[in-house]
Amino acid sequence: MERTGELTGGAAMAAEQPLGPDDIDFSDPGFWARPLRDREAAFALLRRQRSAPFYAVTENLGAGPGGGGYYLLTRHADVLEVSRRPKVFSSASGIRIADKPESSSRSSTR
Amino acid sequence: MIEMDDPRHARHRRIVSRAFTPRMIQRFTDDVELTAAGIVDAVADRGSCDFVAEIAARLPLKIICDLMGIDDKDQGFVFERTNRILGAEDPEYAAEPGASGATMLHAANELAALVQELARSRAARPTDDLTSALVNANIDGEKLTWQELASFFVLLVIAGNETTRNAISHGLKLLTEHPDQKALWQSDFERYAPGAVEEIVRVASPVIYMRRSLTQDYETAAGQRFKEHDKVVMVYWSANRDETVFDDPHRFDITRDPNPHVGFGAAGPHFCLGAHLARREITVMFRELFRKLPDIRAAGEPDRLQSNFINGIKRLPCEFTPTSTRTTGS
Repeated sequence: MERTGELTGGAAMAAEQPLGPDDIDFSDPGFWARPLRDREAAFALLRRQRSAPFYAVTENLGAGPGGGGYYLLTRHADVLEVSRRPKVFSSASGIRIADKPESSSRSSTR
Repeated sequence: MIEMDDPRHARHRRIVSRAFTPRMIQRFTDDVELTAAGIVDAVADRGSCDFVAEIAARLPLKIICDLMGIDDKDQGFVFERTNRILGAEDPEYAAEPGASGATMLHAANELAALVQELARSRAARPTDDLTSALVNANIDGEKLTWQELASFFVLLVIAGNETTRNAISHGLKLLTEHPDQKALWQSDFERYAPGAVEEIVRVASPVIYMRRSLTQDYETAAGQRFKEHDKVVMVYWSANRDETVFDDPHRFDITRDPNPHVGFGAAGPHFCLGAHLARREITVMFRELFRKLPDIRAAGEPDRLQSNFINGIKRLPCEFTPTSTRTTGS
């Protein structure tokens, strides 16, 4: 995955020490603890990437297939496209990043 | 239900939609105004309070509990469990460090037990609440199993509770930071309310993301190829700030039009079932606040939930000129 890909918009990240695409870890609670302006700038940067970045995750992803990580869709058009195609983009293994836990209160859909 | 695909999802949603009708919601939301008035009256003479616990959290919690027939005395129980389920990554709610999965599961099971007990009692003695409608739903021979019911109720108390609370809390923060927008809304409440509510939901994006898994290889319109079993995370929070869709996306503008935000999810089978209830609760809460405490404002930084899933605010100090509740009756 090319994460330092071309920027299509003006990279006007004039703020001091802006986050680069490789500094953004969506799964890291620390990222979400950063000030709003940092997060806004980070996602603006991701939206300008040619393709959705892939984040490898080594733990807590559950046992399901595709457990190695996830792609982050940050653009409005991508969210619309995925939502419109529920047969391709399934919710059955869970809607959090980790696969849903198999519990007595939730029946499996598989 | 949120973790299902069609046709199973469609069947659930059909059964629930038949019970969760606008008329059913209307019956309970007739009380929304009264509930909101009571919430504001309870703090009106104090001049300051925690906006989250004493104002924002109370309305959606009370309404969803009433809708489902959960007793007032169990509201605190529900409040705590939903906090733990959605805030499990936050050290404040996790039972022990690193145990967020166990914390979540335990709280979910406790809620499931509460609603199963309720469902059993409503099956024997139905009332006019949503639980009764669901346990007795049997049109076309379709009915949810006990387990499906419990799982749906857990979803409902969470979804109908936390998200709206956070939207209301973010709303106060935004209106405090943008006094011009607050003044504009207050200049003609009903005229600006629909736009203001949508704009609050856009900027707040109470649910930050939803994840999907691919059932087949797929190439997106933008030309990216995914493989079967790949996971994709739709970041609503980011989509709602997409500069190719929203002019000046970081500006809070209650007159934004059009405002095609995806704060309730995007169009599709999983679009928020409670969107109309949430809109109504947010509207009523701010109408009541502006009426009785027009100068209410956030009086400090919000204490934000540590989570990449829920854009939550745990505490938000607020201030206002105290009023005597005796002189502000409607």
